[in-house]
Amino acid sequence: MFREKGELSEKIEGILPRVAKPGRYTGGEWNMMVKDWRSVEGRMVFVFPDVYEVGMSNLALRIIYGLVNADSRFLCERAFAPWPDMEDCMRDEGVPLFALESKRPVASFDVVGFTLQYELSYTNVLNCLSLAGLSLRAENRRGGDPWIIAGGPCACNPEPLAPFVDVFFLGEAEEQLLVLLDILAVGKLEQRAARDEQACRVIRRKTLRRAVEVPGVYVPEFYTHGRGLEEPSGIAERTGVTTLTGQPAPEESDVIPAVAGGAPYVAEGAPELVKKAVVRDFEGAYFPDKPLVPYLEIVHDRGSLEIMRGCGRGCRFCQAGMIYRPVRERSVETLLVQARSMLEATGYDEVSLVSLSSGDYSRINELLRGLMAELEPRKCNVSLPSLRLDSFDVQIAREVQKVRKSGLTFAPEAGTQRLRDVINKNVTDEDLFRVAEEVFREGWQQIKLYYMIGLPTETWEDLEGIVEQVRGVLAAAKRAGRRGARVTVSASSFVPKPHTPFQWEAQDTPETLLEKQAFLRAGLKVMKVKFSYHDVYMSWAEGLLARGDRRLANVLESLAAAGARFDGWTEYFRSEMWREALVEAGVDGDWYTSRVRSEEERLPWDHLDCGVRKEILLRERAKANALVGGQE
Amino acid sequence: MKVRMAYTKKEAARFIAHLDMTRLFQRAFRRAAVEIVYSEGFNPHPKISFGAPLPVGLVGEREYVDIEVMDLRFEHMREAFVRLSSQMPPGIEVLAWQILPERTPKLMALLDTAVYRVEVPIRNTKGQERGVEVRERLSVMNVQTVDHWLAQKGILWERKKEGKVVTLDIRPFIRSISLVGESPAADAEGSSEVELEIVTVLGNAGSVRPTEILGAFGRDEGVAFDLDRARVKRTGVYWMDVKGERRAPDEV
Ligand code: SF4
Repeated sequence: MFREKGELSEKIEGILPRVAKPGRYTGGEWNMMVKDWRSVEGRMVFVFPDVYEVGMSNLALRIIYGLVNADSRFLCERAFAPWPDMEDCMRDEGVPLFALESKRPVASFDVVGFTLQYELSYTNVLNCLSLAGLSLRAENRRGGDPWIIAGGPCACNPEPLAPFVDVFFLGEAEEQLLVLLDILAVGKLEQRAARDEQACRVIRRKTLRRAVEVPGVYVPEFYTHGRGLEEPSGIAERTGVTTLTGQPAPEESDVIPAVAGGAPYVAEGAPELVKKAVVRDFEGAYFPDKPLVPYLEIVHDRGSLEIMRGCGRGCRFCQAGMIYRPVRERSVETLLVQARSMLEATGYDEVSLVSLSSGDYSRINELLRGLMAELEPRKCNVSLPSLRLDSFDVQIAREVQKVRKSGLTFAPEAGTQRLRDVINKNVTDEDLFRVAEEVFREGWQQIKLYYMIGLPTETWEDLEGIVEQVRGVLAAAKRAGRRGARVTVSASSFVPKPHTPFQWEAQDTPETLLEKQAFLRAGLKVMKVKFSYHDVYMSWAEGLLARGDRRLANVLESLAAAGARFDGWTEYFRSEMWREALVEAGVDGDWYTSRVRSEEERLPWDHLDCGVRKEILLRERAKANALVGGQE
Repeated sequence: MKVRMAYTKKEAARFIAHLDMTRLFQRAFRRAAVEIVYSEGFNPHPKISFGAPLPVGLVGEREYVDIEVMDLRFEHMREAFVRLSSQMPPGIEVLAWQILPERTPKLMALLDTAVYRVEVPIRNTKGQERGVEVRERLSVMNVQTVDHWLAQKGILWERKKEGKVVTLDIRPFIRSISLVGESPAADAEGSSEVELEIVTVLGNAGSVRPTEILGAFGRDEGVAFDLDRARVKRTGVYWMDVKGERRAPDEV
């Protein structure tokens, strides 16, 4: 179907007048790259499994789109999950998922690359495959179908998606993705010329074996489940050590793609431990200096300068802090050149400094001064989205403020010193109050405070501590003579993540979290502080997938069959659907989320090395248990 | 200095929402290094003003925008125009620009007329002999029927907007409807297609879309317009001079 390019374009244009924000589906953005289909050896479509405005704001998309298109051997186009109104029209009219550049069906590319930015987008991944007209499971796809690859932060435990994806890519794309694409493109060419499906399968195996030699490449079908396939029943009956949260740990558990005891479970040639790819030359790594400029307003509608990769602070709950190591900085000189060329190519009036913790950039003052000199005459702004309290410098804020006053956010994360020590967030009440007073004096009217609830060892006292801290910030505002100051509080729910020192911990149940939210709501209400929090069932589903294994693939599959999509959006997330899917697949969800895992247990991601060794995680965990701060 | 710019909005660009056009021009001007003047104050915004918003999805063959830019020397105007043209996305073409004399009325205040071309299929109604039916339909669109329809005191139309239904009288917004062309039995289902020119009133009181007018006409006169497949373009926006003649916004 739709071999002719124009035929599909026409159908799409017929739909567009009927949907909201048709600009999501037209392409045509400034700096869009449309390469001749026949002039290249490999054609990739980058699929962002969420709506256009979210996907277009993502730095990974900008990097990969530019990186692949800059290579004469390849082309890269884009597709996004269509919003439900569009999807319904597409299904009615028989329009498959298509790429914005050429309006070709996604299924006609050689490689379909998904980015996994958050767990709740997994149902959209499956829905995109189905909209593309592809079989969900790799084993059911044929030689003429594209390779399905996936990368991004969630690839550090991609097991719930393992049966659907041919190749996962762990780590950073800049230096290895093109090598992988080359191998896959050659394989696809051979498959398309092959006599029959039998021959295709042989080529497939051969190609994947070549692929696993590339750093960061993980081919899930080369790893099989180990022992423990049977889900242990009745965790409560188990005896064993008492852990951090005071719950008993099971002795034996979990299902793994086993590498334990080695060889029998790993296909020959595949590494027992897959190491993530790390960019060695961050300074010289590809930087998208001609990023796409959309017309409809996207979430982050500005130019991004990646000043630093990685974060050395070592907060124990933080997956990003663990998996993006080591910490690397770009030089001020390079950044200024990048800023200039980006502004010229886009016409943006704002540059945002991107990193996990911009205040830690060693030459931040020098950089800001340089940028101001460059931007002020052009009437452009700098924004610093990730300034945080512990590294906060009023001087920096003042520099940024010179051009525009943006709201300030602080992330103490926990309400008491004890709990902050447990999570290794080195912030004191005194720091917070002092800085708050200072910035109120400087003229800011609004401060946003970020907390996390449900952290390991948390008690009511810690929650009370949040309320107390907010009271202290309000008092600081008063001292600074700002009675009208606005303080807003946001409390997200802690979700234990793989590759962190808290990967073994139990997640609070939705019921417990609801109680905690109610407690905070009541405490903050009297102070007339705006309080926002997350949907507890969404956090539960996120936690399920984050530390899930391959059995959850069945759950995802039945969710997809039931029509689940946009689960990261409160208005589309249906927790009943998730519960039903678990029942249908015969999987006990709480077994993944609400129990403390034993340190001896093989975790589903133990064969994936994302930069921090397990011994270090264990040591950090022990420190947390002993309520000591500090890090390696 | 203020410039009035005429441009097209076609192809993919026709799906750009009206509200997003300001940002589009802002960025294109920045890339072209033609500096736009910003308002003073706490939240400065670029001095860009449009006339009548063109509904999303409609082609605009000659739309207008007024933009205040930093003074350009006359001899640099041409060069700036070329730079600007090269910074416009596909579908947006800068047709002309001119410096506005002092105290020229704003587009918003000036424009009172919009001219649309509409190509719209008419569905075959079931149970009728094909040939007969086509003839009938075309006769429905003749001058007398249209005049008769327009001679009504008021024409009510229910507009659906964000889930709410508002009833409004669209008659005051219609200047004229004329049949430009017709092509009987374009496809196997026996539908035909008509091409119409619809002239509407623009102004402070709001506006109506050509498809709304056809919706009402079809309802009253029993014509099954396939409005989902209508191709609508706005060929121009105008103002009426004292003699009642149509004048383009650059004729000031
Ligand atoms: S400072 Fe932020 S990014 Fe760094 S480890 Fe802590 S939470 Fe993670």
